[in-house]
Amino acid sequence: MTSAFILVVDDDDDIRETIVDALSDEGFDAVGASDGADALRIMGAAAILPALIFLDLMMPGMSGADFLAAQRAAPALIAVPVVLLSASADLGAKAASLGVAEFIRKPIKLDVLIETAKRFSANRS
Amino acid sequence: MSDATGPVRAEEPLRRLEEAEQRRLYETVTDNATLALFIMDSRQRCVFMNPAARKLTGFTFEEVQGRLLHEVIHHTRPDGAPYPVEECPIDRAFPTRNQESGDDVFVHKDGHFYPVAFTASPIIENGTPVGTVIEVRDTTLEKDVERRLRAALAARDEFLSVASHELRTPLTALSLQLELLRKLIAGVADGEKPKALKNLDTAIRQTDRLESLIEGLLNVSLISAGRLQLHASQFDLRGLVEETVDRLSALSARAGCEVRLHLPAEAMGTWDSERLEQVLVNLHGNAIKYGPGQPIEVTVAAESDWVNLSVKDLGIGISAEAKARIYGRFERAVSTSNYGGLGLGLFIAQQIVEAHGGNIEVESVPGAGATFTVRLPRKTHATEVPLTAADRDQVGR
Repeated sequence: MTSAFILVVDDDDDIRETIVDALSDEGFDAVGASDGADALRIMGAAAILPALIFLDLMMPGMSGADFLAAQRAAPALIAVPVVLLSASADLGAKAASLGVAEFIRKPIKLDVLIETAKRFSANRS
Repeated sequence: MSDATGPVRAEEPLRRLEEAEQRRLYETVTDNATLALFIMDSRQRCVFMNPAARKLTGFTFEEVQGRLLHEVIHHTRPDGAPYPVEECPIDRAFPTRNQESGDDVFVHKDGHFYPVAFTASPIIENGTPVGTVIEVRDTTLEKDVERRLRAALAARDEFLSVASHELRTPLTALSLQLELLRKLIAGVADGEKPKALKNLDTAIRQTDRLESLIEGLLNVSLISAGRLQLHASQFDLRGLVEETVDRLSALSARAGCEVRLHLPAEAMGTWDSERLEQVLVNLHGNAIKYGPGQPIEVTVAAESDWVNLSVKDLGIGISAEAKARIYGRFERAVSTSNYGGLGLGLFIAQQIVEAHGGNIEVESVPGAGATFTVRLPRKTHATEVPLTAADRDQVGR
């Protein structure tokens, strides 16, 4: 069982907690953040960097796009991979414009979520 | 002498009477016409306006007579910039001897702008242009109706986009929870387990259905707004078809449809995998819906520059009349009292296929099934479309 640290950034409590539960069930060290600023705080306080960040786009406070800008401005965080999670219709275009290589459109399939988490944590180790 | 001049004298009043009668007839036509009519002479100066033209422009004939018509009613563009007469299509009819027609905007005497539809025809006498007759219709009402219609369509598309986004959000937590619950129950040894799993499978299936309906609404809003974008990558269509058919296997089995796959040695191409999966899901969904209990054949055939994907069912088929309209938005080949659905599947499929530079065709004999064939160029024409400002705003939110 892996214990890779995965950060789940989503303002919707139910979605965030469900994803954190699903990843925890698979043995990941999954932590939720309610917006971009919360995610930056968690990463600042954590001993290790996440193996992957699942990032929602539309969030009150610091949005997904703002978070990505902040992440890229911080040399220590820049290497952390991000997968967008959003219900946005043109998510592919948004991912491309934000320079994010991967995205999952909501609603999310459990097996897709787990497979993505495993793939990124395997790449990291 | 009297013999020679007598008949002339007798004809003159008659001719005058006829001319007066003819003039009255012309006046009746021009005075009662709802079209504004102008005549310009060979120097593009106004020599005639009917009452409808006076009403339209706000000018009396005396105010316009002998002046360049363009300088009186067409001198400024709606943005305030001057409208040079050299660029005026109406004034072009005379020198080019060609009829000109189109939409433009005129300036009223009181300074307000109003949209018009015009036709300017050169008057040719003995092979020489001597002037121009101009017919003008006020299109304010039409433009207003058009503007309201466009606004209503944009509002509808915006609503569909927002509604489908909002509906997908709770569906995310719901479907993930159901899948987690299924995993949890599957691990419990209990006599009630099969029943609970059956109930859960039904719930999962229904959320999938809900998801697909929402997806349809979302896509129609994207297509209407011209924002359907392709994200092409190179892959083998065989893999996508196998995976999709496998993913839909429970649905096929439930409908009693055995799906037979026919795949070539390779089917590489550059396409948007997510969108093509959607095309197959829509065609497969129709095959199940209209041919339950019957086998479905999914075939991929490769040519040098093209790859064909076909879905054949043995269902109710499509009438010749329905074939012409099945790709329309909210259209369906059958009555809504017999079959549900939003009538978007083929519309979306066609839009996606055409965005790839391909086409979709159907062969069908009513009562004997239908075969939909998607023809895709191996290399899509699609280019990445830059995000609009509205997209960028949304990204930031």
